[in-house]
Amino acid sequence: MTGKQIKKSIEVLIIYIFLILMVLISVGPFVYVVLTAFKTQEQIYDPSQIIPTYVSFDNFVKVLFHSNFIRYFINSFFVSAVTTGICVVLSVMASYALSRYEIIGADKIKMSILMTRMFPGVLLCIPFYIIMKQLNLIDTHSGLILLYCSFTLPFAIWRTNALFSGIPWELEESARIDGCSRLGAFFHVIIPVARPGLFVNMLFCFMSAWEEYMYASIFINTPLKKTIQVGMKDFVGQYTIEWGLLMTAVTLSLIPVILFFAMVQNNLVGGLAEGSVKG
Amino acid sequence: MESKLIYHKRNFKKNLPGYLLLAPATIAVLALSIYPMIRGIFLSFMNYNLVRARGDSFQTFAGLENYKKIFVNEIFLKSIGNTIKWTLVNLIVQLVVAMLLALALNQKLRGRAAFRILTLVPWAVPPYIAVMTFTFLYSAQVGILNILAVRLGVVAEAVSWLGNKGSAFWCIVALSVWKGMPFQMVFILTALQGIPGEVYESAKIDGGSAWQIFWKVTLPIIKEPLMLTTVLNVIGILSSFYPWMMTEGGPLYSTETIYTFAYRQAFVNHDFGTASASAVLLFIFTTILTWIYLRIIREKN
Repeated sequence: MTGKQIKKSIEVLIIYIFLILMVLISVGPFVYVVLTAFKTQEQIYDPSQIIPTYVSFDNFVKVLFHSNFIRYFINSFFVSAVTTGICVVLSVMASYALSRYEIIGADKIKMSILMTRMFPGVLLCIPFYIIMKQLNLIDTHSGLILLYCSFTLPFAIWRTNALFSGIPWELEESARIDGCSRLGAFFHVIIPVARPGLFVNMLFCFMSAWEEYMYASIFINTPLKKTIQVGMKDFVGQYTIEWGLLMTAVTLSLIPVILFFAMVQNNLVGGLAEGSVKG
Repeated sequence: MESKLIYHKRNFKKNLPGYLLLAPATIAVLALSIYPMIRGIFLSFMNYNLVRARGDSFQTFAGLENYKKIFVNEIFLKSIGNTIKWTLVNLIVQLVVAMLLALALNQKLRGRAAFRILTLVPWAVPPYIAVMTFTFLYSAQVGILNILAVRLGVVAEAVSWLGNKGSAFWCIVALSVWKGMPFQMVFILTALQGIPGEVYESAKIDGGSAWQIFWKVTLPIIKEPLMLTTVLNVIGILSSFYPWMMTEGGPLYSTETIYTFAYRQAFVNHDFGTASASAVLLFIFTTILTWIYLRIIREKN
């Protein structure tokens, strides 16, 4: 090997070591979490059992059948699904208008909608509290859904608008010439073309509602109405934390996240680039 | 003049369905974001301490009183310093690590796709789940960090990393970087992949070292997306709730940021007036950053 080749292979080696290290940092914590979920209480406190020599399913039984976990899961699913439904309908309507009609000040409207994503959540949740109290919506899922729409809707509009703007006019026009009504053309031409993109939008809406913590912790008080994120706190006691149960709950709640991730990881940039801020 | 007016009228009529379709979403955004935001700004000029809800001054105009109050509040003053430190450290570390990782993933390597997906995992994890996971790793009794540190002889006995005034801040920074870095990385990587290979080849022929090529060729090309993601990132970091989720701003307010201070004032001390005032100050910062962000987008279009 020449000097140049050696230098090149050392470079590649360093890059690999760096990448492997980054993967360990990214995924490693969860390996430990999942391992812990299968441990008994004694094993968790035993340093020689970092990698358990025997597994126990007690934690899973307890979390699934003797805690409110399933209930929280259903609550979160309900709140996120309704939020997603509202956002998809409203954002499809708005985006069709913005991309297919001449709206006076369309650019300004789009920019202001994007702007609202930048409001600090804590500034909004103070007046939200007063408004929700006046509307008697504190401690209700409907109230929470409205709050979630406040940050998923702008995002959905912005993304759907980008999606519709990318669909050429001609598609729709040729359908109209073939005798389709405007509404018919929309459902038979636009929707099928936009379907994959809309699906990803829905997933993003769903996930941002699913993972929300602050609003849920402020506005929901009744234990049985909690969402899954806030429900995690059940396993955190005043003085002790039930690590086995908590890590089992974490493991279980990661399942939908993994599904979501598998479906969107190729569409990440499009979504993230277009006016999203992860708060 | 006349005909133009008629044209506008006719145009409006033709586009009426568009306005009707746009209306629900616009009303929703107005009601759910714009109105609360304006109301929040108003609150910052009001006496709105729920503890004194029966007092005469409740819900009266306070002028700049709330702002004066927070600027003599030692915790708030401390939170300003913490916020600056929090933002700078987060931003710089995330940017450097993301850049290195993106450059590494931009090389033609075996298993590149797998590395990319696996390093993206933290991005997909819900914030509170990430907080619970890291709290577990840091735990004095059961945390892997302590087990390893004790075994390797770094520390004599287990340390409560989150209960310690000196280390809690850095523990939360580590979580925040871990969670936020992938977003930056994907953004930079996409920009890097947009650079045609010939650009590098001609730079290599000109005899530039890798270091020089990075600063003179790569960086200027990706400057725009880089600025965009940086501005977005700073807004996100300023509005981060991690310090509260992990340690509630403690111990001894060592992880209190303006964001957590506003939260504390509102939902622990029940003083919505001063809470709004501090949130408004934060909002001014993010507005300036948003303005920069919008300018970058506009130039891009």
